[in-house]
Amino acid sequence: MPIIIELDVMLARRKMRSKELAERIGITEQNVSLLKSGKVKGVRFDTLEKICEVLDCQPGDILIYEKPET
Amino acid sequence: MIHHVTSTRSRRLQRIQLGARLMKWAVSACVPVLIILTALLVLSVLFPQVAALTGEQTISIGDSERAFADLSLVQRSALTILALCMFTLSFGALWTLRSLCLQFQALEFFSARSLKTVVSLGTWLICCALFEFASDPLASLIVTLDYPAGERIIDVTVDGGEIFSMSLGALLLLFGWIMSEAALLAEENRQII
Repeated sequence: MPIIIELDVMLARRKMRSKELAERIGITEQNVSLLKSGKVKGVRFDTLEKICEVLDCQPGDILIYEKPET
Repeated sequence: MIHHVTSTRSRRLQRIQLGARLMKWAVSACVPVLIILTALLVLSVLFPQVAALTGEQTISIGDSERAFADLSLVQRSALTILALCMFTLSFGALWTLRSLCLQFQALEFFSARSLKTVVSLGTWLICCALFEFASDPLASLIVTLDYPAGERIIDVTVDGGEIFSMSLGALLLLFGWIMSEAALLAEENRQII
């Protein structure tokens, strides 16, 4: 998929562990792991809102569009 | 707002669980009743001397009736087989309904198992309706088999019960297929975080 979730990069920048993020946004660690690996079909706006709030960033810092190679 | 939605959903799920539990008990109570009634019917047909005790002494053919005692052993055995077939189908439908209630009680709505059970229940009900429809002419033929040629009767009737079973069975089959679509949506929803 051309949309890439760069959550791990932002977590590293904020020096935050997945477990802490999961606890603070109220989702399971397994779901954070799925988000990090991009193995999801979508992200709800309220989840994205909480991630941005906790990591103090913009949606564009986490979601990146990469043009597929033709 | 989110809390309100969650509590409404939780109340809805509790209602489903309660309904499923009540239905499971009701169906479980019907199973021994069905077994006892079938046993009494079989005893009455096979042993006419017992029929006086059970109250089932005659069988209706069209507008007339015939006593079990007047039938030969072969005729009574054939009637018993018909009764046992109907029992098997009814028992199958009841037991499948019970399994479905158990799965709904466990809040298992869109699992492969519950979808299979809904389709299976629909199939059992359709089979019941078809057998009920076929059993009337068969029973009348068996009962009048010892009559002279030309006096034998084939009684074909369609009553509300058969139409109801058939409609309900078809509806459940349809629900099973619709629920398969709902299960796909539920699976997709699980992949959205």
